[in-house]
Amino acid sequence: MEKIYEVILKPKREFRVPVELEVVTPNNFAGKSINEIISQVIYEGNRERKLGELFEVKGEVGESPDNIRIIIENSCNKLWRIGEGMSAGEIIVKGDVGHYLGKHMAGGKITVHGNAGSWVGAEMVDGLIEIHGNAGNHVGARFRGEPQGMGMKGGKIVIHGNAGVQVGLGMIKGAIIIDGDCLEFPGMKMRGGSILIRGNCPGRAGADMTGGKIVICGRVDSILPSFYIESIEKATKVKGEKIEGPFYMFLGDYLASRRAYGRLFVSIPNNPHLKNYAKLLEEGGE
Amino acid sequence: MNNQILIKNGYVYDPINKIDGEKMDIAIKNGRIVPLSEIDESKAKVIDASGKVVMPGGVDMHTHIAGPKVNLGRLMRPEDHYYSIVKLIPGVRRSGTGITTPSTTVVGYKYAKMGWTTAIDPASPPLKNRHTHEELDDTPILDKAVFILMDSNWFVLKYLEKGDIEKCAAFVAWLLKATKGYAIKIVDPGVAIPWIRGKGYGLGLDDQIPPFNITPREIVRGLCKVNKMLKLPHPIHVHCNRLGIPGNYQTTIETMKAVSDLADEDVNIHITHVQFNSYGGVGWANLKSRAEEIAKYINSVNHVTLDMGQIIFGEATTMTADAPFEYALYHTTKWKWGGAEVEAEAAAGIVPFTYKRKNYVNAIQWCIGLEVALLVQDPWKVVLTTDHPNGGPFTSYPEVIAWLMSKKAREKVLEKLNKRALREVALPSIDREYSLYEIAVITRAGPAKLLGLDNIKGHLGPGADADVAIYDLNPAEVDFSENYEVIEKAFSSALYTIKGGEIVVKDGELVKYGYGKTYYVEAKVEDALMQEVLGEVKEKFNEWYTISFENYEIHDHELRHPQPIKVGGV
Repeated sequence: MEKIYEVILKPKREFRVPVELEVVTPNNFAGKSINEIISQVIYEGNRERKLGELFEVKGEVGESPDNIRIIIENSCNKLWRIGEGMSAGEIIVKGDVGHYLGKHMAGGKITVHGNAGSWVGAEMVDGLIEIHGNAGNHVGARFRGEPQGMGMKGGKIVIHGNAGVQVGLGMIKGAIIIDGDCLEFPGMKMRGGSILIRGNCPGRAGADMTGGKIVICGRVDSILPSFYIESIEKATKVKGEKIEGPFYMFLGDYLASRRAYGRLFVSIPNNPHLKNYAKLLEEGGE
Repeated sequence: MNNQILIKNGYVYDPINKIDGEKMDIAIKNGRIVPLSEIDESKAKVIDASGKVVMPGGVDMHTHIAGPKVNLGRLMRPEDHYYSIVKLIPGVRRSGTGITTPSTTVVGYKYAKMGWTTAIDPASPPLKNRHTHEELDDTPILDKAVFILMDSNWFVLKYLEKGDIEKCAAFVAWLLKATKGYAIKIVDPGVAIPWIRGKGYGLGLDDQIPPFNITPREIVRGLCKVNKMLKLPHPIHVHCNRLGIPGNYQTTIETMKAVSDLADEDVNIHITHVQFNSYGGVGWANLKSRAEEIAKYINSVNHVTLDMGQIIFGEATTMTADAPFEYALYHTTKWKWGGAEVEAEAAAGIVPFTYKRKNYVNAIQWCIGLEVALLVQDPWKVVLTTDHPNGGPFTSYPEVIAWLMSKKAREKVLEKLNKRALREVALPSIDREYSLYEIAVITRAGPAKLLGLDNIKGHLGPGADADVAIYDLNPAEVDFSENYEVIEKAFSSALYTIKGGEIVVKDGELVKYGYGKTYYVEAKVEDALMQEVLGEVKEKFNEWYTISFENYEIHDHELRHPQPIKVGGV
């Protein structure tokens, strides 16, 4: 196995305004000396700084981004845009991170041992993001105003805690797995890919979706009226992982399109208040 | 303070003073161009322009840079702003964003970088003009003005319906003064009236506009008479009926003919973004270029001028007061649509659009703009525009200049165009190439003259405002038709831009910014007539408007640097 070069970044002081770290990626570090790295320009609020002014940088840097591992110690939620556009290598964050973690990421791996801000993996193309704490809103979402077709195009985001609203907004391919709960509108405007929520969701799942798959294992307060019950499934699969049910399977969102084929799986045992749907199925539809 | 500048040995292109590339010195003192004898060379800052081109500062007479609909466009298109950040440099520039719908600050900087120093926003509804002026005031460097939408104004229509041209003229004069506007803008005459009921798409020149007993033809003729009566500096600025609809070239020619009898020697109608109005065929699938017919008519008369409305392949944000057309366009893009209606005055729509080389329609549109500009013989009748941001952003002007000056540059684009479109257009067979002098006409002298500002703008004779652009081009050495990249590079980043006697851009980088003037027109009208008309207007105003008459008028103190232009009138 090839040698892994580790670079360790440690904040020199506490930050009170956002620090934009779009330069902290294995792709950007590759082939640079430590001196070159610490002279990279970053912004703290509206002030221009050198990376070395704010961070202690130690370690060795390899030629190829594939075998670079960046470790950020004592991280806090003021550090934004870590791993933006990275396509190889690894970033490990010990602590919290701010917004735009792994935005436009095209490969590699990011692990966060703490909580993350909003827009985790926004518009990502490939790679893996794993967060051991909670994440903010818009996990794997497309940015505001972007046309259809700009959502998450691949890769995998795993959040071991909870997530906020609009998980996977406009998603096209890839997978988002949330072990905890999430807030409203998971899979909004989704066109493909899959979202697994092991916890609860307050509702409005899959609003405006025309494709893809959402699986909710916990309680869902209500299903949107533009979704139709299709069948009852014993189990389903997300990225090759078998998820035991049984589930109600809904198709929708018929407000978005007359030929919508978005699939919404909702656990039966955790949602006794949805039992009318089972009756509808027995009666053979409307 | 050293406020004298001497530009030495440049190749000067100054069409108003008939100077075609002569080696000359230009002297600047106290913000004006002065005779060489008036400045003291030892005290002046000397710019050595040998081997460079010196032109007056550019004048853009049709660019949507401010106002409520531009702002709505900005709001609608956050994706236009994420990745185009102009960072703050304390003391030099403010920050801003945007490509097709840039912030006010970015507008000023990008124009200055290209050597343009005057820009006119061509359409603002009178009621919202306070907002337009706020934005124009915030636009650095440029001198500016704004045209006022009048074609669907209920008062105008009421007076024209009765045939009361004098009263209509008095109203127009009051409206221009009250809203600090510069000229009469007509957008798809009368279209906002049927649009209130969701109709109006494809409104023809002779269709009635209920509830008013009037047709678009009568509106154009009426306002043309008003324009003449008030002796306004700019002719009526007309966006023709049926814009963007295949087969509309006849409507365009009809519109021009409609006012041909009202002209004596002078220009009395300006057809704007003519590219969108020169379509033949009966549907999008068999769209044809009718640039030749349009050019033929314009070559045969002297009362019409036009601007190109050239499209640029890539992103654009279409925004026009032709609301039904925008709604129809939205159904072809199915992405976003913004609509707005201004009480008793106008309506507007906004749709983001992407022009594609391989698209048959877009390819023909691209050819039409250039065909018109190349087929019209007299460059004084043509103005270079992209109808920013409808056809493309104004930052593409250097590209358009290269296309006009070099057949090779056009051929390079033609290679990549839709093949079926190429069989339908005449552009590949046109050999004409613009000279640098003609480019100076269509980007500077021509628009300045059309705006009636040719005493202070668009030339380098003594008395003119010291708005000068110096480009790194050597006409003695470079063959422009072969080396079109050189033209594009030179025009996209001016060596020096001087605005009002101050150097604002050096080597393509902004060094300083200030704020320019806002021109508006004050037309003289007899007191008795004005009182009578205002009496009538006040009476109806409370009925038709949600704001009071007293709050409608914009006062001089609300503008940063107001500059009235007084004209004779009724």
